Amino acid sequence: MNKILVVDDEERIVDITEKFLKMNGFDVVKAIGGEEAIRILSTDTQIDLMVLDMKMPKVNGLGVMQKKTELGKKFPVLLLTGSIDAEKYLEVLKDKGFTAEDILYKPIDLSVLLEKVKQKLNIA
Amino acid sequence: MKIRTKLYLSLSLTIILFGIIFVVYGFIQRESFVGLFINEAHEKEVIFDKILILKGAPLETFTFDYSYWDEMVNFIANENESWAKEMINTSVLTNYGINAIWLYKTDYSLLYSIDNLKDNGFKEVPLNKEIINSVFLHKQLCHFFLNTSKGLMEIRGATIHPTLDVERKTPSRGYIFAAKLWGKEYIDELSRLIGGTIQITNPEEKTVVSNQSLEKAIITFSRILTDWNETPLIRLNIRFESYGLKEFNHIFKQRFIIFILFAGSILVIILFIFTRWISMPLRKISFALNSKDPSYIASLKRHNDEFGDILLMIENFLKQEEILRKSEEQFRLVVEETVDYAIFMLDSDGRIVSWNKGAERIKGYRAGEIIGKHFSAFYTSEDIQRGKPEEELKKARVEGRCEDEGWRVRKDGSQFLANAIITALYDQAGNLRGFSKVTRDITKRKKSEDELYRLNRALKTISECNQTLVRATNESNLLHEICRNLVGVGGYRLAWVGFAEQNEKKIVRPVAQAGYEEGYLENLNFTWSDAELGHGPTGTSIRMGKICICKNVLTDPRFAPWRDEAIKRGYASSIALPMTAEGRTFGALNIYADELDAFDEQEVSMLEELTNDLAYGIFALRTHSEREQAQESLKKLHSAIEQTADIVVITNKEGVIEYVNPAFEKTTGYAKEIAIGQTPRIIKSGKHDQRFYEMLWKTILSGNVFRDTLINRRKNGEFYYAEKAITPIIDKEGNITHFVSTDKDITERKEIEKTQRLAQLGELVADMAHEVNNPLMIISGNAQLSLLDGTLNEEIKSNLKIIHEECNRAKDIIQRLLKFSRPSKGERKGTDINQSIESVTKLIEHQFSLSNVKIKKDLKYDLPAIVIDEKQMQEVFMNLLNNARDAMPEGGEIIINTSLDGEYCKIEMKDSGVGMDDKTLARVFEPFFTTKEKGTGLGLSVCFGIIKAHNGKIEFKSQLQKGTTAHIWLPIKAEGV
Repeated sequence: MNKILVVDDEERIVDITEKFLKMNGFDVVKAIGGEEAIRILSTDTQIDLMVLDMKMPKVNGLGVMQKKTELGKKFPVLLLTGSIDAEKYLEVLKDKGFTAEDILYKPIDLSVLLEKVKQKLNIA
Repeated sequence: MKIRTKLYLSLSLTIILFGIIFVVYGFIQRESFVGLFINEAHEKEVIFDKILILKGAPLETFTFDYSYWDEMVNFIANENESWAKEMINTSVLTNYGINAIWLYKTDYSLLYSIDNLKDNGFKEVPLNKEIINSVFLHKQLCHFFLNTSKGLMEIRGATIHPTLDVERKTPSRGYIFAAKLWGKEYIDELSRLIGGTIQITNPEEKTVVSNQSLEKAIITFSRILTDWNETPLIRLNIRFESYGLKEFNHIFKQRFIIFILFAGSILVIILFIFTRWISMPLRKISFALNSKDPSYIASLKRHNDEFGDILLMIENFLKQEEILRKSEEQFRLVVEETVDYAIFMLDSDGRIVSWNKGAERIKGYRAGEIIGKHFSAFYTSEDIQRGKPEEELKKARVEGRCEDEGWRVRKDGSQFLANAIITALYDQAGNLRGFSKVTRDITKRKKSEDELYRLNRALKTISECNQTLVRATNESNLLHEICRNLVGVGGYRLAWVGFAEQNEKKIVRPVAQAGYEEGYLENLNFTWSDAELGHGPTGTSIRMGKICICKNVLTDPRFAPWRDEAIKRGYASSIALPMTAEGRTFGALNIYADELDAFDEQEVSMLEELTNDLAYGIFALRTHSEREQAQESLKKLHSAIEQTADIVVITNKEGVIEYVNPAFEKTTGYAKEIAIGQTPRIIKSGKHDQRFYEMLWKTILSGNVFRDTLINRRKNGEFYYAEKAITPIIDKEGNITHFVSTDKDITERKEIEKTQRLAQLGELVADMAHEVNNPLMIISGNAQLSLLDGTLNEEIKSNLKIIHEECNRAKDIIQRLLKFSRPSKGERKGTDINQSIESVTKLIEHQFSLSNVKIKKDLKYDLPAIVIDEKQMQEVFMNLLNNARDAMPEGGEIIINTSLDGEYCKIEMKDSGVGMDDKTLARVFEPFFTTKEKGTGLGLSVCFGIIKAHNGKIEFKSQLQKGTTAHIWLPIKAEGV
């Protein structure tokens, strides 16, 4: 079973995502905010995918990504954003292999999320 | 030796050669002739001898034959006379051609004789008995000649012997003699036989073969006839002419003469040629050169040979020589006749060798008196003591020339100032031949020179001062410069300019000076008041406006207050010249000289002129300076107006434009030439109502400044905001003459304000979006999760679906808001705009047709590809088309038109809808402004943002109930993309 780390500063969004992914048979680890995400990334070695909100207080999505790189984690990431500023992030993340396809705009269609997750995890 | 002599010599040699040839030829001819002659003579001699033998043969034969004959012997023995008479008779004489026969017995007695001689011939042989005896003593036969009384006789004798004794060995039986007389006939016959003449002479007389006889071809020779004793008896001289030789001689002579004539004529021809071609020209040349008269050779000029060339040279030479001669002659005359200069020659020791009239006039000596004397006679005794004459000669010898000006002495002892030049004269070999000395009396000239020098100095000063005046740009410099010129060029001791101060003290303030002053001006207070200190030249001249001259500082009472100081400084005389402008004397030019009465009439007149010029110059400079300042400030003002970014328009009272600045041209697009003469109505936008303009005119015509922000229109139709101030220009009388309008184009500021507003709005939207999207996500997420619950009834499901959809709509609105505020930069590439339009219309045509809206396209093909973000552009088109459709609820037609407009691609979308009023039109691009019931008010805002991001332009033209047209311009050449 694939383990997905869901990161957002809005607990309710994390909950919805967790509930939906679990319903679709994924193991989900929740992180409320960037700091918690970093902590989990440092301890949990079983994560296969991360759904990451970009705009968070204190440690934002880019900070988490930075940490992930530092920790040498290679698993894929889906970016979640409520702002058009995502394009700005894309400029920064382009060299990490990100494309516009890896960005999901809030509010998301859950079916689209599922599709993207499966795509990233290479599940038919 | 002269050429002519040589020619004659060679000619003579030729003649001699010819002569030798003639002589040799003649000699050879003569020799051969002599040879012939001798041959002929010899032949003749032989012939003669033979003739003599032949003619003597009968006598010999008779004597021989009758002397050995038996019958003869018998006769002698018998003395039978009858036989004798029968056998020896006259016919025998005739037969043998003999004249006498004598027969003797051995005792020499005559036995018989017979002759046919006339007048008793000889009975016996005319010889005595002893001689006959001696004749036959040793021989038997004899032959000899005898002169007889009958003439020359040839006699032959023989001893008589019997017939058988042919050899006459037996003793002689007797003697027989026969004789033949050589009479004239015989001699003539002989002559005839040999073809000449025979002369008989004494044997001693010899005939000489003379030249004459040789030339006449006369041959002579002789024969000696001997008597019984072999003694020469007579000589026969035989002479005859050889006709052959004579002819030969004659022909030879003829040929010789012809030869001589021929040779002679050749010589003559040569002589002629020599004379004609060489000797004569040479002689003429010689004559011409000797007499220097080219007329001798005039006739030879046309010769096209060396002489021709020589002649030309000679002619030139003669001409040159003539010129030279004339020039020498003239020169000589000039020298000799010159009376103003003493020109004479010195030998190398300085003794005078020639003397001209000038010398006589200037020095007073006659030629005879001075020639041979040393030239030091002209020097003063002081100069002679100093050795000046020798020094000058030495200098001339070393340097070639020595010029000196000094006093010289005349014969009468008077002195004169002389300019003397001694020039050393060398011959071609470089040997000193002597000196030429030219002396002028310059006493008078020196005096006039001094005068002239002063005049010149004054003129030069004036000239320099005038130049200074012309160049002067600054009053102080001008005054100083003039003073400097007066001292430096004019040679005055001091020059200064004083200005009259217009106050109570009436002080004269020195403002410029030059020359030797040493505090003179500082310590002495000049005034122009009518007091003692004002009665000096300076004060007087300023006060009276007249020139004031002080001829002698020492004696002039007016100079008393300054005399001591002036004398200390070497001022001897002075002049003060008033400086007057516009009838007012404002100062004086003061000049001091170190000589008494230094200012003569001419100089004063020139200085006066100078002072007037100077006064005028100062006046002009002051005027010029004021004018220049005014001009400068005008220029500044003009530059300011021309260069200011604000629009400046000047109109007359009626509002007709008289001036516009470049900012006007730049902002409005109207060129100055077009604007001037028009009224500001050309930029009226129509955005302001009549009342606005009435207010404007009212304000400015009442003399007040009008201020407001106006919307004006550029030539290209664009509007611009102008912050305007119109100021009336009022003249001295209080009348309004012009209006000045200054505009500030604040369109950009307005645009910036708008953009800033939009940017702020964008920030707000972005923040808001994030804040709103999170709750939306929660709402939408929960709804979606709930929908996954299979236990829910349909109604709830339906409600949840609505929640989900509305969340999506909200998301869409937010997305568009964001796009408007920050249009994202998508991928831009060269795009066929027609193609983009086609793909949009294809998508919506069907849907539009359902609403009765037709789309018509009038696309210009071959439009250049333009660089755009196609997706964004299609969004623009989509928005516009949707708006057009919405404007035509009853249906209608949309016409899409593309074209080229300068550097832009123009797209027009025209509908036949309800149209918009001006107020609506002004707000169409404002976000959230909408006329639609369900509109977000973001569509056109987004369009505006996108077109702006493409450096393009979008605007609407609309008329209510008629329709709206959207105009889009997109640059063909993308900039900054």
